[in-house]
Amino acid sequence: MNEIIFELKDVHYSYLNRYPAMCGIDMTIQRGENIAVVGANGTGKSTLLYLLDGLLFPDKGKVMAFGQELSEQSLIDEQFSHSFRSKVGLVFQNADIQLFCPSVREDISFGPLQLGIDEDEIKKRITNISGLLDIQQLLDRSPHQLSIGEKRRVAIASVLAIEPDVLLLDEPTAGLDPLTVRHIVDILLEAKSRGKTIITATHDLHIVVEMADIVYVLGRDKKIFASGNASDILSDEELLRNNNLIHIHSHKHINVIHNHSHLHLEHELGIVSP
Amino acid sequence: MFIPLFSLCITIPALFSIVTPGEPVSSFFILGAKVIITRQGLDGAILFVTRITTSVSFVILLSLTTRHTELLKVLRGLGIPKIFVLTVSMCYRYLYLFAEMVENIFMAIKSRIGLVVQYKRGQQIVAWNIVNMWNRAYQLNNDVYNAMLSRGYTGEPRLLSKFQTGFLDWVCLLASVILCTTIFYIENKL
Repeated sequence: MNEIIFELKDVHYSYLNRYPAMCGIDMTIQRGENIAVVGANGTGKSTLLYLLDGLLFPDKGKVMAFGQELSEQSLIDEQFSHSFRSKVGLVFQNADIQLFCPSVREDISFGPLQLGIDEDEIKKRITNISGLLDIQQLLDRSPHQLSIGEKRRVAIASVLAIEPDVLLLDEPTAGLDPLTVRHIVDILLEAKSRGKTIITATHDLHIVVEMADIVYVLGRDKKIFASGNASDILSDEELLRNNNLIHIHSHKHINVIHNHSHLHLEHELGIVSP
Repeated sequence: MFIPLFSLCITIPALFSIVTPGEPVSSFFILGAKVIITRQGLDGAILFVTRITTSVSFVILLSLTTRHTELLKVLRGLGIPKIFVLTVSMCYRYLYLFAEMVENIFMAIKSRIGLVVQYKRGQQIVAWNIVNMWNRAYQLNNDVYNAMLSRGYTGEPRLLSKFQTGFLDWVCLLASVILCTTIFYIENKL
């Protein structure tokens, strides 16, 4: 449980060397932890996931994964690259990016095939995962024919097929209807119960309540604004309001107008506010 | 339609006696010079254009009646390099995405400026959209490559499900062979 799998030390990153996205991030992630990275739009949540997945590399500072520095050089090493890609899976925010094969079946099998897994084993995994995510009827369809919710489920399946130890999820529930959100949360909770390390970038605080033990709040200055236990962070209304994660909502009950923070987190955290 | 028309254009010189000498069918004058169309040239051009039209028709028929996933499998079965097949499949996949994007962009334009656009303004809008689509395609290219890397791609793609022939495939193949042999036999006898 105490094995450190990711360690970020003073990580800086900027796009085109002009637009800063991370300015001095320090973070330690241990095996089995469930982490939510929350923050307003443009605070660097996706960038952080890309850095953890070895798709971007810091301008300054270090990202350590499984005791080794993540760099272009280290990922050229075939053995490390294979081991890292087998252990870490990223679900992209835009499912259209992730689903590039002509059929759903081929998309799900793409990752395991690249990692040299036996075809019979891949077929077994496809059967299991498609059952788990209820996408059996989609296997021979083309990804462009699917709805957003179906695409998202297939994108998750394409990563789960690798059976990674660490799941990186970029806004897994954005733009989905409540029932699909529920289904995806259930799948992730099931992965959590199997001891997977899950790192979720989101601003959907409802799923944070259910899924995360530790929450990192990224601020507009591209630094970690706050971090701590999910219950502590989520009960700090001022912190959430200052970071655009909740807003004051005003509505009318017959003749009485009252204000409260939108999202009704109080109910889910078991806090009764006056 | 474009390919047969293009083939028709490139066969025009072959009609004339300068390129294909033979029995004259018709003649006319261009800038005082006599131009003769020959029977051999005409026959050659008709044969060329009809062959191309037939081939294109069969390709269209095949693509309209066969699922593209099956066509890609067959390409792999025929020994076409995997990277080429993967690229073609991705092109096909993302054509739909871009078509959707273009449709949405034009809907957005229509909703803001209506149906009637000044000619010059229309040209500007089309030009900006071409640039916009180019930028998006470039961005998508990077993102998709990252998604492939993230799932273990190292430059040599490995793809699932080799093409397997079934009973009906063999029946069709046999029927085609019989048909072709019969046509060759009849042609040679005549």
